Amino acid sequence: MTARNGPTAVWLAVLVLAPAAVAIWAFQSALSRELPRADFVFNNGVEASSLDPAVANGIAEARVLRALYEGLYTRDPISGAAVPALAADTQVSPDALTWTFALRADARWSNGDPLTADDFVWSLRRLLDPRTASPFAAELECVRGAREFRAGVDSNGAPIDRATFDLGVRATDARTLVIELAEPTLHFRELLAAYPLVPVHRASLEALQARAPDSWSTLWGRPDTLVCNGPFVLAERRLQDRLRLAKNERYWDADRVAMRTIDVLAIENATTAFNLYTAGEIDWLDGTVPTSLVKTLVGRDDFDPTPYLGLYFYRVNTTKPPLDDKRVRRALFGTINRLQICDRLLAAGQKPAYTLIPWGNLGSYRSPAAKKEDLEGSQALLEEAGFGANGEEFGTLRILYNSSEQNRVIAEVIADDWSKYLELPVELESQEWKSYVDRQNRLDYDVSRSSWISDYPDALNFLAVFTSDSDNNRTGWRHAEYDRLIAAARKEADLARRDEALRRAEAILLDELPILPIYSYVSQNLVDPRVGGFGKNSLNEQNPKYWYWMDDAELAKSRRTVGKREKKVTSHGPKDGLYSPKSQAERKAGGRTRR
Amino acid sequence: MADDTRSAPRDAAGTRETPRAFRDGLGGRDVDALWIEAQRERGAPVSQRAWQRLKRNRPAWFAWCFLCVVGIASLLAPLLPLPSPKTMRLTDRRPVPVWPWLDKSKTEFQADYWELNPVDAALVQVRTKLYGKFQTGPWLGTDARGRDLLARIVWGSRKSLFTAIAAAAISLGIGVTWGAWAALKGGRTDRWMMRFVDVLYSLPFVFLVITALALVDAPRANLGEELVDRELVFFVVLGAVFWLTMARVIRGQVLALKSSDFVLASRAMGASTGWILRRHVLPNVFGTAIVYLTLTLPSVMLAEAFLSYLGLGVQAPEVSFGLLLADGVDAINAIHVEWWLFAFPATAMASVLLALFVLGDGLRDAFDVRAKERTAP
Amino acid sequence: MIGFLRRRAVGLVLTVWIVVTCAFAMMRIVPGGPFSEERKLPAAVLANVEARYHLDWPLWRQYLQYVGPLNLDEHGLFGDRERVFGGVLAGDLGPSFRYRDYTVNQILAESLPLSLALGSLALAWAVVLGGAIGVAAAACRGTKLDLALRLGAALGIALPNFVVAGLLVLVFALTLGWSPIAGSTSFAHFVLPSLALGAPVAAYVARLVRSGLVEALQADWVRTAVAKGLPYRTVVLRHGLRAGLLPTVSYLGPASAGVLTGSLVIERIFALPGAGSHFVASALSRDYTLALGVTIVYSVLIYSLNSLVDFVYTRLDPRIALEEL
Repeated sequence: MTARNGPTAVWLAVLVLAPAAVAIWAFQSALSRELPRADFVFNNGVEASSLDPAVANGIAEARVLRALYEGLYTRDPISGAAVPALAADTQVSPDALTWTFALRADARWSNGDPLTADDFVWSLRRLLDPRTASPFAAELECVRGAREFRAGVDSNGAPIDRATFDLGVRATDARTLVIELAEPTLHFRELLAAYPLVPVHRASLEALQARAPDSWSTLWGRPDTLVCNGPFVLAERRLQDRLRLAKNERYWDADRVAMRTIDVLAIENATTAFNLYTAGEIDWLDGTVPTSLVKTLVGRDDFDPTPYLGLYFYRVNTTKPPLDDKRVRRALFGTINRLQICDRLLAAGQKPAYTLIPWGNLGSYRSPAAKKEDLEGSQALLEEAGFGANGEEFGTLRILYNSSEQNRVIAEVIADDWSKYLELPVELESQEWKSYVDRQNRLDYDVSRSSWISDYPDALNFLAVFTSDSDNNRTGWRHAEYDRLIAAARKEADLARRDEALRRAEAILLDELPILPIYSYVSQNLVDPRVGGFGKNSLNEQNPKYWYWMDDAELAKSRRTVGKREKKVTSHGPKDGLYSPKSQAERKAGGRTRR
Repeated sequence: MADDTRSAPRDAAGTRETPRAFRDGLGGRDVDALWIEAQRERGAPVSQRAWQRLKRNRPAWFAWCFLCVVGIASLLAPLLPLPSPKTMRLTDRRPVPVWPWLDKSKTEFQADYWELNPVDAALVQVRTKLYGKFQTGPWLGTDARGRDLLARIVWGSRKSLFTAIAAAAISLGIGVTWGAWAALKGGRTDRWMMRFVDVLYSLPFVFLVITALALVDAPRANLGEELVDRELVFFVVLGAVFWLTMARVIRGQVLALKSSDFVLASRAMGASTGWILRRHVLPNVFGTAIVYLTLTLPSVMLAEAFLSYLGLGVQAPEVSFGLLLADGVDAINAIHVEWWLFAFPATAMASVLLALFVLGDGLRDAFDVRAKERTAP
Repeated sequence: MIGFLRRRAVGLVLTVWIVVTCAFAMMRIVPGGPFSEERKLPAAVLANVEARYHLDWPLWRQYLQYVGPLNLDEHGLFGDRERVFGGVLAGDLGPSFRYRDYTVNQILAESLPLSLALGSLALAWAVVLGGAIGVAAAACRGTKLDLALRLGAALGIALPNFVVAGLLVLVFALTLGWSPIAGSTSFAHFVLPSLALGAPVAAYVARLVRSGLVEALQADWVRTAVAKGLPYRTVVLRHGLRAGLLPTVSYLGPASAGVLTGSLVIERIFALPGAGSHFVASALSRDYTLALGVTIVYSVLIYSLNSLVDFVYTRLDPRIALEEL
């Protein structure tokens, strides 16, 4: 016994000390990374998939790219309209086909290089190059030659050399960019303001690609390799934790930027993010407020739901009998109690939707008059189609949705409506995201929860989804007249005639109902009341460039004018505010004159 | 050797330990009392003796009774005067928990369920005859959609228990067969069969579940076609994941049995592996299997909760502990806590699981020959 | 010792290879691909993305490419152009499909230390607390205290970890304010998550230590020791614990592999950027390479820890010889 005690003690010591050493090492590498709190912290909800503007795709990515890059146009945070950014001057030819941009003379990259028209030409060619595989490239086929450039063959079918191909994008001098379009495109200005249409720094990217031909994409998008031109630069990137953005001192309008640092968090759990917000560790939460809390939050001055260009709807698989019968789809459409969903379940100001275009209008466009709920009519329609009390067996209707609490709740209510009013057996089926997407793509569903959020404020962006050849149609619905109207609208140079074509198309869609609109979204920003320069627009586009912290005096003033009846929430922001150098100077000057 | 008595094989007809063997394992306690008891028990089947011992183990017996009550209540859920767990009341002010004697709410029962099997549907009809429109008030409060929490817990326990039992039974079937077969065959077969178990152990759980769910998902051309029964799929998937531990444990037991005299004798007489498995091995591992079954049940229930949290588990509008708790956790936040959504389902699930653990311990003691020393000091 | 290590090394390679092959096959059976999204990529774009990651190749070629350092591209075996990644044997786990700016190696290097830190803290207190409860319960077995201790310990496994985590946040962070709510910047941030993560382990350890001890204390040599006049405490701690620890040790092997690699639920609730969430999220997002990468890490860990368990066995129980394992 004692003879073995010696070695055993040694082994035990090793067994205890080795893990302890590992643990200490792990803690050291996990904890050495403490950062001081940023001037502004917001939760992005997920980790951005990429910081390459040509590859990135999604709302979370767009928020970061808006801070890092700036294109010819950007979005005004108050109106949401496309406004000039790097384009100091824009000339459009009378036929609306040639756009000439004069670039700002003081535009620079974050490493000090001047930003020239050539940078734009190179970046746009990169975006359109099929090897870049940008999901946004298809939107730019309105540019002359873009279609051929992407396909790799000219209109006669002969292969082209991309390096020398004459694309309708060129630089006439260092500050002048000319873009020629193949057809008049009324929404081109909106496209220019989209986040993928920003320049990327050619020299640094090409150097990286030369250094690491096969792994450059996993080395780019780091603080030491990313050269950008927006109001902020990347200071730190921690996967699934945060992006730390620092003010870009070389930005042409740096004097207007107040925040010195911004943290972009990737917290996926809505309740955790909300708890952190309440504790003042987060200053802005995007729409991911826990549903159960909305009723408590409405009426607080830090919560201000705003109409948002997004539609929540159900796709119907029109290839599957009996859903191929228009009357059946109408019956389903007419028995959804939308008001109950909006007022009782969601309760943040969402409105019932009966049209494809959320809120029924968009810019100059007005949706056609639409049918609404109609219980008796729906029951009659279903009987007419041969179902109902003494008709044939309908079968079990299954609602497919991607797993989320909110989708589940809405599906439960709708299933309840359909079984109550139409006496249909309805089942729910939740699937994890990828299976759900796959099932939609293969048309392997009966009714499926869906949504569409506009990329830019234009009715075409919604209506083009349901053409026969659209990748996003996914209902099996085809309508020749609808396709023709959309194609015509795409080429139309006159706004009124374009709207008319779109309106007729939407009327067809609402008659056929391959989709069942349910409600129009609201953006649900939860933002510290002290934050100034914060956008409130139908795209929920924010520009971190304009954010600042109000001081006590300004906060009190804004509360007097804006949120009179709302419940005041204690702000966690700095009491003295945080202003950009320019507005600080202006305030000082203003203060002196007043005195 | 510490384990002499314990690992001594018992043959199927019942144990015939000599008083001598008993006395060896007593640790110098009250020999006479035990001797009398041993006399009484001699010849009784293993399970019957275990049952006798379980009855004397107060906590385990209490746990067993509690589980019986829960089981019966959830089995007869359609017969209880509860509101429907599906009926929503989307009103502005949702009821909060109220003591039964202070409950003044008068709501009327609606027979509004998901598609029930014929037995349950009949039970609901009986219930309507028995109580008419009467239903209990919101004693435990209501959830965000105004559904009665008490009813949801009862129906949820039903779903969770049923899922757990079905999946555990499947895991028992696969696990016992696999483990016992591997041990009896021995050699290369054993090594490969156990390596297969190791491989499955190393694959992340969610992987297995998603793959299994995907494999059985068949598209259908029109609404009239039969649906793949998601419930059944779910059991099979869970059962297929949880047999691994069972297989390992059983293999260990069978390895010990394998070298016992009666198995060797059977082999010498030319008995086939299958015959030995049925005749000698399975009856002897029965106790261990039952014990591990009671431990598998909680694991399955926790897995169900986790999958429901991810949205892959039980499908709404049906309800399970997992779905209730996933909803309940959402109710924990910094400004507005609806504590009942969290507290009651958690208490319900925890008490069922604790009872299962206590019962599992009790069963292990009961099947253990020397159990008396532990439970009756 | 050398022989043991050699046998285990061969076993490790073999097991990991089989696991990788199974996982590779499973990932491809599951519907949906890494680039299928609600807003579908145009067919031509999708083809280009897939070509970039060689997802357009036949499966056997993708598999060989993934496993081996062989560079299989359109130029055949050992071609040297368009190298996407070196393969598992070269220590390169490939680019991630979900996090397009990262390789799997980079992701693991960022997230594993955090999971290790959290996991080791969880294990430490689980073993200490669970062991203490187990010993105490065994020492006074059969009493009310024993039952109370066992029930208390079992609470750790009686609730799903997302509930335990939620409860901890509610009590210690939101109500009492003793702990930060979420995050990963200081040691204090790790306390609550490690409690939630370690609770089930502590419960199991308490259980196993108790039953192992009870068993051991009834052994002949323990009675001999008592008869010899040794104090009861010495007998429990020195003789009983040593033999009674065997089941605990064999449980702790695979369990610590699970704890050290983290948990999706805990990491989500406490906003920790650890590796645990990748186990679930990568499978859900069909990030083939990341999913395979974490599977490899897990299987290596579990195999090594099981071997370590076997080794510890020989130290705890003189009857087991290393040469036989």
